[in-house]
Amino acid sequence: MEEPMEMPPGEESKVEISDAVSERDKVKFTVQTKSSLPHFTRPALSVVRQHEDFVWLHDTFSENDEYAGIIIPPAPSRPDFEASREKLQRLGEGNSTLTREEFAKMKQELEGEYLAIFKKTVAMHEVFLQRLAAHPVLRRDHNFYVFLEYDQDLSVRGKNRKELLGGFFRNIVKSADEALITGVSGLKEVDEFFEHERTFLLEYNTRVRDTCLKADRVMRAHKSLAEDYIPISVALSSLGTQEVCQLQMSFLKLAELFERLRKLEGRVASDEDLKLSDLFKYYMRDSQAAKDLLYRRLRALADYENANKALDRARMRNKEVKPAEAHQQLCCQRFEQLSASAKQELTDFKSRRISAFRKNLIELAELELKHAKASSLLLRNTLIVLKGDA
Amino acid sequence: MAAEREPPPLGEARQPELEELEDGEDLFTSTVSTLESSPLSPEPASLPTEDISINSNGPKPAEIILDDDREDLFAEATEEVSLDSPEREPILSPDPSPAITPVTPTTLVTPRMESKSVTAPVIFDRSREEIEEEANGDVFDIEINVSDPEKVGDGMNAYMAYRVTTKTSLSMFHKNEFSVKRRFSDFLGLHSKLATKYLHVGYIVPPAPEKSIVGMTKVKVGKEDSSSTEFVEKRRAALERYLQRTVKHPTLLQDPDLRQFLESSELPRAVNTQALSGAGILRMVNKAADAVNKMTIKMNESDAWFEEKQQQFENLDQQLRKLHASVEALVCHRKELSANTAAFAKSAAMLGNSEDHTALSRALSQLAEVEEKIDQLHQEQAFADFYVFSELLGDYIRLIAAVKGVLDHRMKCWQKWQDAQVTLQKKREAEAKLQLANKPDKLQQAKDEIKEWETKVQQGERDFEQISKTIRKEVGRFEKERVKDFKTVIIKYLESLVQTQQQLIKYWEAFLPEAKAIA
Repeated sequence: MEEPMEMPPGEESKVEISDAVSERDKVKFTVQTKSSLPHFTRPALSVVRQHEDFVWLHDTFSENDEYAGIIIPPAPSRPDFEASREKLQRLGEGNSTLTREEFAKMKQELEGEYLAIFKKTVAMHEVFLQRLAAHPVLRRDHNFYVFLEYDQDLSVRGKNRKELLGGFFRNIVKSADEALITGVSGLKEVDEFFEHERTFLLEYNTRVRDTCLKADRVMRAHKSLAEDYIPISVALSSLGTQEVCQLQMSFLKLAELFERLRKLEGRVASDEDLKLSDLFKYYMRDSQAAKDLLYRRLRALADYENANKALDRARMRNKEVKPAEAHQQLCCQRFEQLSASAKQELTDFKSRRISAFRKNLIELAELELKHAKASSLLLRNTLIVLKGDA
Repeated sequence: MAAEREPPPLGEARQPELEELEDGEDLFTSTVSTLESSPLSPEPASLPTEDISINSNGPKPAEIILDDDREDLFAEATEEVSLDSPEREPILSPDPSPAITPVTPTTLVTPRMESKSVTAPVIFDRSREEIEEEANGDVFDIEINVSDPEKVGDGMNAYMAYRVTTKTSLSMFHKNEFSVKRRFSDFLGLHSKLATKYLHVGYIVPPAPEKSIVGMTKVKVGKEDSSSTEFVEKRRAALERYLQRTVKHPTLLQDPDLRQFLESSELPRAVNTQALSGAGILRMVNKAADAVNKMTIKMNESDAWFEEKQQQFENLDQQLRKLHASVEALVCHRKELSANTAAFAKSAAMLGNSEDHTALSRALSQLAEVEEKIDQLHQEQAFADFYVFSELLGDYIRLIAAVKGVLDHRMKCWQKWQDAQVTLQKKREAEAKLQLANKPDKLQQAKDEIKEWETKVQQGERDFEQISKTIRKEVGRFEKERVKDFKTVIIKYLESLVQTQQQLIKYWEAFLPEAKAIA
């Protein structure tokens, strides 16, 4: 889903999730790193990590003031097999209205779904790490090295209540401060670039959130449709075996057809999921991360303005001018650093976004075409056989 | 004027002959040539007159056909029955007509016998024309369309009027093309009349579409939303299919009630079809009673064919119901997919608007357009899912119920015959007793009663054989139609699916360069 940024020659870090195992509620990812960086003790590393470890890593980045001017790659979402597991359970609970054939097919369908979710969660976790590895600043982070190398369990405990509450309050403060971004505070944005970005990101984030939701619904409806073909195929099959000989072939052929159409529809659904739903979901999170960056910059700008005001006051009273000056310098520097970094990050964000959309939309169109052509061929062949029989 | 002749024992072996003869051109070349008509179409099932001639001669198929046997034929003819001679006695009342009406097939087959026929020459003339027409191969030259649903009246008394247009070259109709306005209860009335006349003698009368109080109330109340338009369209299509099936039936096509329905500008209002009317309630009671009776009739099925068919239709019914339910779920989900696709399209359009990179923005708008078109496709496909596939299954589930009904009538007929035999036995025993007791006056009465019941037993046997024969024929015809119907529908449905996929290919092929153009 992501193209890692260009790496300077001589610094090769390749990170991938080579394996994943689902145990009860937890998924254990095997993270492998190949790197020529001097930091690592060995050129090839392999560790086992859990989802919480990834979240911890993300949080250390987002809480680190040094990285305030960087769009922190969004953390992968928690692996969620709940829905799938529930469905499998319900199926297993002995639903007597299903024939053996139907049951077997539904089981196959659900198992496929489970596998697909599994693959997706692996991909999302991998992409997170790869983006970090590609970022010139983030990949030098100490915690990142620990994450990749420390061969013991990281023992990242889940956040305790105090931390969760803390996080909760931070979010409220952040939202209140979003007033800064939305311009309500009266803070003047002098840079046109950032003004534009602010307007754009606010709207974009909202829209992409909505599109993600709608794409998800389409995908799910497609899945239901594919699942509907199962009982139809089974019913046609039993009709075929019992029918008068003139109709036997028609029904059996039709049963076969629906079975194959089901698989094709299922693939359409999963492709839509991967190429559209996931794309939108990722950019929903990434644009949120970009918004967070803007917020931090504006926060820095506010601090800078406050420092200016403090300096003026100090000069007026001619008291403690030196510390005020120093403070103001600091704020100014920080703000300017942040702005420069943010500009670069936002430009990268745009090109990342464009290339990701381009890639996914092309792949989506190609896959849809592939499936439609396969379905069409299948249908036409069946028609030839049936018409010949009539 | 019944000539008393004992039918020679008829074994199973006869039946195939019967069928052969039906298929054989021989029968008609001989007769038709005497009627100076042109070369005939070898479509036996389509000739109602053939029905009459063969049916009414029950166990003696062989004799009917040959020219030489015309004498015999004629003599035999007085023996038996066929209900399907409506042109002889137009039956317009809803009461069950007498099961047996003497028919002389010879009037159709051998014009020279006309003077000896026991039926009115007028009818013969008409049948003759019909033979000619059918011989010319325009038997099913009748096309029915139901269109232009129109709301008449207001409030709870409102109803939908449908235009029924008939295009035909059959001469039994006064014109070649004509149309009338009918309402739903008129259709129900027609079915009711046909069912009353033909069901109990073994004809599979196509069932009328179902009533829907909820659906109709919405329409009456004037809700102009999509669900009531859908309801009206569903009903219109169902009425059309109902009429098309009914006219395809060679015997029903001859019925004067059907003709009146298609032709007359004014039709007496069928009041007995009102859901909650007295007659309606009576019908419900009768149906319940029938169900109870059916359970208690244990018939000695001497004919394996019927047992087999009973089982076959039972299985078919079950399977079709399952399939129907699954297809209905498919329709529902496809509609959902369509709605979700439309929502997604709108959302993608908005996303495209907010995207600040021009090429990407354009591509997203194009994506939105594609998805909108795909939504349209889904809607059309759902339409096909329903009207082509689902409704056919529904129709056949109801038709099979009619077949089962006919098989039940045969059982009742058998029961009646058995009951008559039992009564006859009792009467004979009573007479024997009276003989011993030496009561001459009561004896005569007893002898009379015996005579009466002997006749009834014979009648019962004949009725039973008649209905059995009719059913065999009907089932044969029904199965042929069914095979044809299903094959046609399957092909039509698959073609709709192909169409959808072809369109999808077009849309995505148009979109691909747009996606590639993002720079």
